[in-house]
Amino acid sequence: MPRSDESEPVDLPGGEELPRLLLAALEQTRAPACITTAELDLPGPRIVYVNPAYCEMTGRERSEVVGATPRIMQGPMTNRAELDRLRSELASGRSFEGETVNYRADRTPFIINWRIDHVRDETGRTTHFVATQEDVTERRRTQRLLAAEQLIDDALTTTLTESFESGAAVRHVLDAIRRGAELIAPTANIRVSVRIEGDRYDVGTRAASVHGASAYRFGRSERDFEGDIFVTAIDDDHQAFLDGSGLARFASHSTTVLAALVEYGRQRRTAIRLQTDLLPGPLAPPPHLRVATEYLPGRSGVIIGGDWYDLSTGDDRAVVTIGDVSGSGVDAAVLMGRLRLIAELELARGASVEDLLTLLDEVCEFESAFATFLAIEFELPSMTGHVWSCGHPPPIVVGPVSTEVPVLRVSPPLGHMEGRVAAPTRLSLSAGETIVLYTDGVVERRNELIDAGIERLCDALAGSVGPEEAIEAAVAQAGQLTDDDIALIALQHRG
Amino acid sequence: MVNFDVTIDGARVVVRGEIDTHTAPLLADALAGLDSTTHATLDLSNTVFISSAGLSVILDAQRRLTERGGALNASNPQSVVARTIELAGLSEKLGLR
Repeated sequence: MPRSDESEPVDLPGGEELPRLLLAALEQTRAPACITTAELDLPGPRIVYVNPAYCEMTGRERSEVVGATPRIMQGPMTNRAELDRLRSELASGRSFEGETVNYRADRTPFIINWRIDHVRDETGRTTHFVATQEDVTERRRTQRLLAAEQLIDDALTTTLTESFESGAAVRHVLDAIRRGAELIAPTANIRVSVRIEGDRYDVGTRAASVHGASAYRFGRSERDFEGDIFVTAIDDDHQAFLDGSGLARFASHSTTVLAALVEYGRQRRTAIRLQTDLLPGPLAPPPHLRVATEYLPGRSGVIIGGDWYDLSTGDDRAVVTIGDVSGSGVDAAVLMGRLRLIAELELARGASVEDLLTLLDEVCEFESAFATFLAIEFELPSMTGHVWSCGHPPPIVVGPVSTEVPVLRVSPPLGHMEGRVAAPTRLSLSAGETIVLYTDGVVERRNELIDAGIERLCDALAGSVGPEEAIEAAVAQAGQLTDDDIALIALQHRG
Repeated sequence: MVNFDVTIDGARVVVRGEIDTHTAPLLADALAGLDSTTHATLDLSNTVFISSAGLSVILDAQRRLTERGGALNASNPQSVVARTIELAGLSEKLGLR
């Protein structure tokens, strides 16, 4: 495109008709246009011509505009820096393009995008400027609304994938609502407040001085959350220019996003509650045993899984168990809860471990499920005993000087044993020793032998004293894990 | 990047990549296509990882086949996969010893 400062006078086709045609076109186009004189120094340029489209945009009569300075269009919200830039661009012989707030005859503001080009005579001297303008208020408002909505959508996505904490997530989204409202009302003071199930959250600050304020309600009272976006303008002019319908639409979008967040939090709490109910309550070990446990949900956002542990104590035996139902989410958790309850009841009424395994295998086969399981039966008080593994990784015995991984005979996982239980492996726990049972999420890494993971766990456990310390060490080494949930139970023979 | 694919060539099922919670359902779909009287072989020579979800799918398919006169055995697992199968007590069941 030729730059106007390089443009030369041209011979136009069209003959005598052309001047009349040009004027008719200028008069009838819907693009606002304005021609001024070329004095940049005070008192500045004067308007010599405006077309009807210009009059319509500004709400002014041609008669009141011609002869006046373009400054009549300006007002308090007009960007002074933009006007300075205009002057220096034109003074250097360049064209100008910019955007600012102008005012109509009735003083209502609007955003214009305008371009000013030099009109030169045959000697190349600038005699006039021609300005073409466009009211971009609606377009800018739509763009700001979209950008604002994107902000809260992004905030929601971030909170749902990171480790979720309800209060922090709500504050994060509220902060995005505040920043979004600031995009829509750039010169206003924004505060966002919401009450969710009795808790109140507030972001932003109160305005020091109030020229005008409005509140945009969002939320769903029937879902027990309600809030407001408080918009406080710094002066009357800005108050009048606020994009009220944009803010109202934004408040409505905020409702949708927050509703999703509130619902997610609710479901998550339910899931956590179920998980804690499915796992055993506080365990009651016999006096010479100490026990510690841990359950950690997977990272993937699913809170309930299929891992569990338990300890059953009778008069002459203690049976410690750990299991892992394949799969994740609600199905795995529900079956896990049933298996644990069956095991608890069967062991409490004195069933042998062999009979328990056969029963659990039948249940899993009936449910078309796959679960690994490990049970250790200790005689009391001697702590000599036997281990049965149904496809489960071996426990680790942590002694004062060494850690050991017993070599086990292993049956297939529950659901696939076909009624055959492999003979148990003898195992006893000496005074001072701790045995740690875990699920595969603690040791399993892709592209390496599971033995490497077990060895890493052994190294982490070495030297730990007592079950609590052992669990702490095991969880710490599991550290940067996997999507898998993990369960751990550690038992110490206190002697 | 594809981290899993399965191809069936007659009675030979070749699995490449990782069989985990996400890809196990794809393997299940593929194995469901086997005629139930087939004596099928699951070639694990290019399988680099298998989780319990994967083992579960294989055992379910094996059960379906054996109940109708067919069979499903694994072959040539790499050491990582072989060890996982061994610790799960499944080497014998999958015909690996």
